[in-house]
Amino acid sequence: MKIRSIAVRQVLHYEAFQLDLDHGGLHILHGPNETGKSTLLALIMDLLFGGPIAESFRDHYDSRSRLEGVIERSDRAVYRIERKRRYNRLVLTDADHAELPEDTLARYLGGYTREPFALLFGFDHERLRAGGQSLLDSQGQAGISLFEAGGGVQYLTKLLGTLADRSAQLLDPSFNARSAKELNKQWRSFIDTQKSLKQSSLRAEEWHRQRQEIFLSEQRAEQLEHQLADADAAWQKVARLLRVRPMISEWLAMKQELEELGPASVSPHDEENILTLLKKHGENTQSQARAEEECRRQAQRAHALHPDPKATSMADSIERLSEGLMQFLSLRDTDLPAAREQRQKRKAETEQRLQELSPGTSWTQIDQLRLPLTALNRIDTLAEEIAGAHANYALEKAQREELIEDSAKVEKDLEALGPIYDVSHLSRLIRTIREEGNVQGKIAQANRDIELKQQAIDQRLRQQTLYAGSLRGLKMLPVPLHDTLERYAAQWASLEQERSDARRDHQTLRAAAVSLANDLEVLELQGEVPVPSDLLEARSLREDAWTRVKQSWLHHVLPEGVGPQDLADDFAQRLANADRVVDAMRREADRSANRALLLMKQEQTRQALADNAKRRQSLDIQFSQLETLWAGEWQPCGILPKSPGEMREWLSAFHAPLVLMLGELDASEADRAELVQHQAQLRQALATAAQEAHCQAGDALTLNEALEQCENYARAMGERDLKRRALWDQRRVLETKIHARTQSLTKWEQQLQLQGKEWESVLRAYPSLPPRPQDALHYSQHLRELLRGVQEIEQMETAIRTSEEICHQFERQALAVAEQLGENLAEAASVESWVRQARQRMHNARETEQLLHSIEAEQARLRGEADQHGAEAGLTAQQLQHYQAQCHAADLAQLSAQVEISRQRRNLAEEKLSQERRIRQAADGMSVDAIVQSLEELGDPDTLESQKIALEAEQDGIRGDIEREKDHLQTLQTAFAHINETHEAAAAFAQQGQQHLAEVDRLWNEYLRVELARRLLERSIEEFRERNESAILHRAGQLFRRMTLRQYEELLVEYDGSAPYLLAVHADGSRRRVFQLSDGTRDQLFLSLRLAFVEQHLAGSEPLPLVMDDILVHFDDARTQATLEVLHELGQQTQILYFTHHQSVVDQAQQLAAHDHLHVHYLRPQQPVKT
Amino acid sequence: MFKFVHCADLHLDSPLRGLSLREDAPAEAIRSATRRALDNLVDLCIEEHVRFLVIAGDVFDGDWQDYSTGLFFNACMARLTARDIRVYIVSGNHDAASTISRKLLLPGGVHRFSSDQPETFVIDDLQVALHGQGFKDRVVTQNLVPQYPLPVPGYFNIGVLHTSLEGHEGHETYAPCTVHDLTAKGYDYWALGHVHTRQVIRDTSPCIVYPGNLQGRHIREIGDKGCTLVTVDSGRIDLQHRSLDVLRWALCEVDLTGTLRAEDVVGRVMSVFQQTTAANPGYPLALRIRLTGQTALHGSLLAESEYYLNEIVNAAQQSAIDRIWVEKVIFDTQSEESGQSLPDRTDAISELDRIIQQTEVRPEFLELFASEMQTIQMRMPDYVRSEGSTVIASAEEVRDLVSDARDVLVAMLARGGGQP
Repeated sequence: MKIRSIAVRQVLHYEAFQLDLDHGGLHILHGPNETGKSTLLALIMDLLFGGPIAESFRDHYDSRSRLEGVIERSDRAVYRIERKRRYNRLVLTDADHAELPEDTLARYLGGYTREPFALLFGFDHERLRAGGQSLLDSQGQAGISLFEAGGGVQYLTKLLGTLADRSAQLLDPSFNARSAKELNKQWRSFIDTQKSLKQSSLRAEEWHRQRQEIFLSEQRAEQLEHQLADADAAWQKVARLLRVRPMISEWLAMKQELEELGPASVSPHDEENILTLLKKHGENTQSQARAEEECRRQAQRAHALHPDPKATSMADSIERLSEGLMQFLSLRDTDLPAAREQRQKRKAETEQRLQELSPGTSWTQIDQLRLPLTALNRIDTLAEEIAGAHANYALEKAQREELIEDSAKVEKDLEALGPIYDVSHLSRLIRTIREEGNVQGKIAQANRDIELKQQAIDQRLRQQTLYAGSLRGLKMLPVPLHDTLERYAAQWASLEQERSDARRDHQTLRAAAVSLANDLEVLELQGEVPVPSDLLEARSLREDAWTRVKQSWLHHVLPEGVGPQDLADDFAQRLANADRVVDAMRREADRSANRALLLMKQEQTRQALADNAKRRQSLDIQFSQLETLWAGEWQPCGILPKSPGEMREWLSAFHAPLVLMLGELDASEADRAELVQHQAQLRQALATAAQEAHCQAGDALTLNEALEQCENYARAMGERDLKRRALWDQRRVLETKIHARTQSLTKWEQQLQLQGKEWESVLRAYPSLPPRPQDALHYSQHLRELLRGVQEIEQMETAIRTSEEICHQFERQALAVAEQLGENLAEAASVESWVRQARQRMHNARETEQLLHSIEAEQARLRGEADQHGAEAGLTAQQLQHYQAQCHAADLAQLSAQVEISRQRRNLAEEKLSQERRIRQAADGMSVDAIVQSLEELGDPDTLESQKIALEAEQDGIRGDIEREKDHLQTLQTAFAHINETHEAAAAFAQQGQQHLAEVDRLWNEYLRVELARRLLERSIEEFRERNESAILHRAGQLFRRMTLRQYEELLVEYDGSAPYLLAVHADGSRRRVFQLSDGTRDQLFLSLRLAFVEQHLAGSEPLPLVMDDILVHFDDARTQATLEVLHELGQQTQILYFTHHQSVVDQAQQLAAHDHLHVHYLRPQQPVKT
Repeated sequence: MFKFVHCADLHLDSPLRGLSLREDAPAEAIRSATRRALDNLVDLCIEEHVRFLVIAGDVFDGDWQDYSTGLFFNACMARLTARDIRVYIVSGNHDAASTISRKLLLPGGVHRFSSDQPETFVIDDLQVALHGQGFKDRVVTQNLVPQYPLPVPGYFNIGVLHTSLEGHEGHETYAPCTVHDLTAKGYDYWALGHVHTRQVIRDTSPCIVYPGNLQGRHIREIGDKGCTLVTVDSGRIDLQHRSLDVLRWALCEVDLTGTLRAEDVVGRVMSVFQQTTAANPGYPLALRIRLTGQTALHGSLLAESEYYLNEIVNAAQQSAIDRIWVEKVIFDTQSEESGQSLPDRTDAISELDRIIQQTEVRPEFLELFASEMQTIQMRMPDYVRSEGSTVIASAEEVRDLVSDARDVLVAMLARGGGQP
C-alpha cells in the first residue's frame, strides 16, 4: 500500500492542507520548525487508523474537521479514506459522511492496527537511539537483538529482567525458612497463624478435665469443713467446762453461806423505808443547826456598814461628768493646742506661697488671683503638651544623631572590609574535590598498598628458588598450559607409580627368592629328597643302560673296553638306582612334592626377577625421556623444572599468586597513576579557580594544603561577604530609621508651632500668668496650693472655736454638781481630780447600799430554812418510832443493825442468782445443774486442759488442710474462669490465617502468570532467532556495511558459552561486540536490522509505507549519504515518508547518483484556524 | 398466636475467606463476624418476643477445635433461656464431625434432638410439637424422613431436618429426601438446614424453608443473610426474612465496553460501587469485581493490573470509606482489535503470538512447567487443599494460564517493550 494523497481540513492550524504523494519511492518532507511537521505526521497516523483521539489532540478536532486521503494497494486497488470526529474518536466515513466499519480498511493496512504499525513501520531518532541503547543493554544477545529489531520494540532485556525480578521477588521455590520473598513470607505468616490458632484453641477435653477437678476439690473441701465442725464442737465442750469450773466453785460457796444466814427478819420494803428515814432524820437535824448559826453571822456584818444617801442621789450627774471628762481633757490639753499650732503653721505657709506667687499681694487680696477651673486645667494640659512636645523633639533629635553616627560607622566598616571576590566556583570545586574524598590520602594509601604488595611479591619470590628472573618476566613467563601440565603430571605420576610398583615387585620377588632358597635348604638339611627330575634322570640313565644292553644283546655290539657283565651290572645298578629314586619318592612323597614345588617357584621367581629387571630398565628409560621432554617444556622459561606435581604446586603456590599479585600491583600502580593525574588535574583546576577568585594559593603546596588554603580563603571570603551583606542590611535599616526620625522631627516642630500660638492666646486671656508655659504649669500648681491653704485655714479656725465652747460647758456642769454635793470645787486641785473623787464617792455609796440589801435577804432565807428542817426532823422521828416498835428494837442503833443483816442476806441471794446467770452465759446456755452433772461425770477435771490442747492440734491440722484445699480450688477456679470465658483469640488467628492465605493465593496466581510469561517470552525469543538468524543477519550485514561505509564487513553470531551474541566484523578483521561499537554505529546496526526485517516483510506481504521522523540527525554526513542511498533503494520497494527539518538532508538526498524515485516536499507554515 | 425463629448453618467462628490484608479493609466488621451475627439473632428473638428458636444444624464448623466457641454459643443460648425462650437444635453434618458439638453441655432450656432416632419435643402451652433427628455421623446418605413420627393431632407440627433435599449445587448430598416426602408427612412446617442460600421451597402449609446461613463467609455466599421469623396465627403461617449479617459479599460485574482511559474504568467501577452500597445501606461490603466487555484498554488492564487494582481500591475508598473491601479484581475484558494475528505476518510480536499458540499444543513445555509448579505446590499443602485455590495438577491447568500470560506479554510489547 502507498499513500497517494493526504488532505486535512479544519484541524488545528490546517485550514485546508493538501499533500500529494502520488508516487512510491522516497518522499522527503522538509519543513523548518513550526511548520506543523510533527502534527502532520500524527495526522497521517490518524488518517490511516482513526480510533480514539489522543489526549493532546482532543482540542484540535471539531465537528468541521476532516481527514481525507487516497491509498493504493499493490494490486492497484484504490481507496479514498475520509475521517471525521465522532465524540472522542475519529471514525471512517463514506462519501455521504456515514460511518463505516474500520474493517473496511484492514485489507489495505495489512491487518495492522495503529500501535503495531507504529512499532514496525514508524521510525524516529529517539526510538533509533533507544534501539541502540537496548542493543547495549542486552550486550548484543542475538535472540533479544533480533526480536527487538523484528518487533520494533526496545528494552526487551529490561522486560525480561522485570519479569524475572518480579518472579524472584514473589517466590523462593526452595521455601527457605528465612526467605524474604513475598509469597514465602505470607506462607510463613499463614503457618505461624495456624500454630497460634492451635495454641490458642481450647480443647473440649481440657475444659471438662478442669471442671471435674474443681468438682472434686469442692467435695474435699466440704468433707474437711465437716471434720472441723466436729472438732470445734468437742473443743467447745471442753473449753466450756474449763471456763465455768471456777465459777461453779464460787456458786457452791455462796449457796452454803446463804444457808448459814438463815431466814430474813425485815422485808425489803421496810428495810428500805427504815434506812431512808434514819438518813433523813439525821440530815434535817444537822441542817437546822447550820441555818441558825449563819443567820447570826449575817446580822453582825450588817451592823458594821455606813450608807451615803447624797452621793447616791447624785449618781447620774456624776456619771455624766465622768463620761465627759476624757473629752474635756483631750480638747483642752491636746486638740486645742495642736489645732492652734497647725493653723498658725498653715497660715505662715500660705502667706509665704502668696508672696512667692504674687509679691506684694496682701492676705485680703487673694481672691483677685483666682482663675476658672476649666481655664486652669486647659493651661495645665497645654503646658504639659508643650513640655512633652519639646521633650519628644529633643529625644527624636538625639536618636537621629545617634543613628547618623551608627550609619557613618557602618560605612566605615564597609570600607574596612576590603574587596570581595566571587568564590562560588572555587567553593563548588572544593566541594566536588572534597566529595571525591582525600585524593592525596588515596595516593598515599595507594603508595602504601603498592609498597606492601611489592614487599609481598618479593617475599613470595624469595620463598621459591626455581625462578630467578625478573618480576616482569615472571608475568610473561611462557609456562606450560594447564592441559600440558596435567598431561605431564598424569604421565609422570603414572610412570612414577609404575616404577614404584616395579621396585616394590623387585623387592617382593627378591624376598620370595630368599625365602624359597631357605625353604629348599631346610628341606635339603632334612635329607636328600628326590624330585621328578631326579626320577627322570634315573630313568634316563636306566634307559641308556638298557639300550646298551639291548644293543649288546640283539646286535652284539659292545662299547669298547666294556664287557657284558659290566653292562649288566651297570644296568642293574642304574635300575636299582631308579628304583631307589622311585622308592624314595614314594616314601618321601610330600617332601618330594614340596621340594619340587619350591624348585618350580624358585625358577618362576628367578624368571620374574629377570622380567622385573627388564621392566625397571625400560621404565627408567621412559622416565628419563619424560624428564627430558618436561625440561624441554620449561626451557623457554629458563627454569629447570621439578616434577609436574611440584611444578603445579609451584604454579599455584607461587606463580599464579605472583602473577595475580603483579596484576594487582599493576592495577594499583595504574590506579595510583590515575589518582596522581587526577590530583594534578584537580590541583590545576583548583589553581585556576583560586586565581579567578584572587586567592593566592602557592604553587608549591600539595593538593590538600592548597585545598585547605583555598577553603580558608573561600570561608573567609564567604564570611566577609556575609558580613558585607549584614552591613548592607544594617545600613539599609539605619537609613530607614534616620528617614523616619527626620519625618518625626518635622512633625514635632509643626506641633510646637501650633501649641505656641495657642499659649499666646491663653496669655492674652489671663495676663497674670507667667509668659513661659513651663512656668505657667508651676504657677497653676502653686495657685491651686495657695487657694487650698486658705480654705484649710478657715476650716481650722471654725474647729478651734467649737472645742473651746465644749470645754467651758464642762467646767460649768462640774461646778453645779459640786455645790449640790456640798463640796467646794475651788478647793480641789483641778476640775478633773475633783470629778474623779466625786465619782469614787458615788461608787462607794452604791456598793454599801447594795451589800445591806443582800444581807437582809439572806437573813430572812436562813430563818425560814431552819424552821423547815426542824419540822421535818420531828415528822421522821415519829415514823421511826413505829418501826422501832415493830422490830422490837430498843433504840434507833439497834434498829439500824437489824436492817444491815437483812440487807447482807438479800445481797448474797442476788449474787448467787447473778453467778448462775454468768455460769449459764459462760456455758453457752447450759443449766448449772447440767454443768455440775457434766463435771461430776467427767471424773477427773484436771484432764480437761490436756484434752483441749489435743483438740486444738486437731483443729489446726484440719484448718491447714482446708486452707490448702481452698487455695488449690482457687487456683483451679481462676484457671477455669480464664478458659471458661468466650475468648476470640483462636477465631482471630483463623481469620488472620485466611487473610494470609488470600495473599498467598493472589501472589501465587501472579507468580504463575509472571513466570509463565517469562518462560514463554524466552522461548519465543529463541525460536524467533533460530527462524530468522541467518537470513536477517546476512541482509542486515550488507546494509550495515553500506551505512558504515564498509568500516564493518558483516554481522555474525558467536557463542559465548551457550549464549549467542551479535558480532560486527571490522574491516581490519577484528570482531567487535556491541559494547565495543560507538553510539552512532550501534544505532546504525539497529537500523540495519530493522530495515532487514522490513525487507523481509515486503518479500511476503502487502507493502506498507515507512514513516520516518528525522532518523539521521545523529549520523555524520558520509553515513547520512550512505543511509539515504539505502533508503532510496528501499523506496523502490515501498513508499517512504521521511520528515526532516534539516536542509542538509534534502541536499544530500538530491546528490544521490540516481534519484529518480526521490520526491522532496517543502512544508510551509500554516495559519492557525483555532487559538 | 406465637412466633418462633428458624435459622441454620451458623458455622460459628468460621473465618471469612479470600480477604487479603489491605489497609482499606473494614477489619472490625470481619472480626468474629459469625459471632456478631449470632448476637444479632439472639437480640432479634428477644425483641420479637419469640417463644422458641429452631436451629436446623451446623452450629459449628466440623474441624473447628476451639471450645471457647461452644462456650460463646452457650452464653448466647443462656440469654434466650433466661427470657424463657426455648431452643431446639438438630445436629448437621458439621456438628457430627465437631468435637465441640459432642462435648458441649447445653444450658437448661436448650434441647438437642437425638441422633439415634427421631425425637419429638412438645410445648403444651403452645400446642406445638417439634420432630427431628440429628446426624450421628458426618455422612448420612439415607432418607431420614420416613422414620419421623406421625404429627401430633391438634398441634402445630414442625419437622426439623438437616438435608440437601434432592441435591443442591455447591452442597454435598446428605440425608436426601424429596419435597413430596416432606409434604406427605402431614407436618405444618419443615425447618431445614444445610443449604446456605435462603430458599422458600413452599410457602403454604406445609411450609418448607431453608433460611440460609447467618453470615456470608466467602464470595460464594453473597447477599443478605439471616434467619426466618415465623408467625403462626390460627393456623396461618407468615414468613419473614430478617437480616442478621454484619458484612455482605457481592459480585460486581463492570462492563468496560468502549472505555478509553483509566478514568473511564474508575468512573464505571465507582458507579457500580455506588449502586451496590445503596442496595446495602450501612453494611460493610466485600466485593469481587469482574471487569468485562470489549475495550481499548484490554492490554493495559492486563499489563498494569496492579495499577488498576490500586485505582479500584482507591475508588472503593472514595465511594464509601471503610465500607468496601475489594476481595479480588478479575480482568475478563476483551480487546477491541480483531485480526491482530494474520498468518502472513512475520514481525516478532506476531511470531510471539504464533509461538505461544503452538506452545498451547506442545505438551512438553506445559508438562515441564506443570511439573515444576507441582513441586512448589507440595510446599503449600494447606493452600492446595483450600477452596478456590489455583492448583496446577497437569498440563491442562497450565494451558488455561497461557492465554493470560500471552495477553500480558503482547500488551507489554505493544507499548514498545520494557520501558513504558
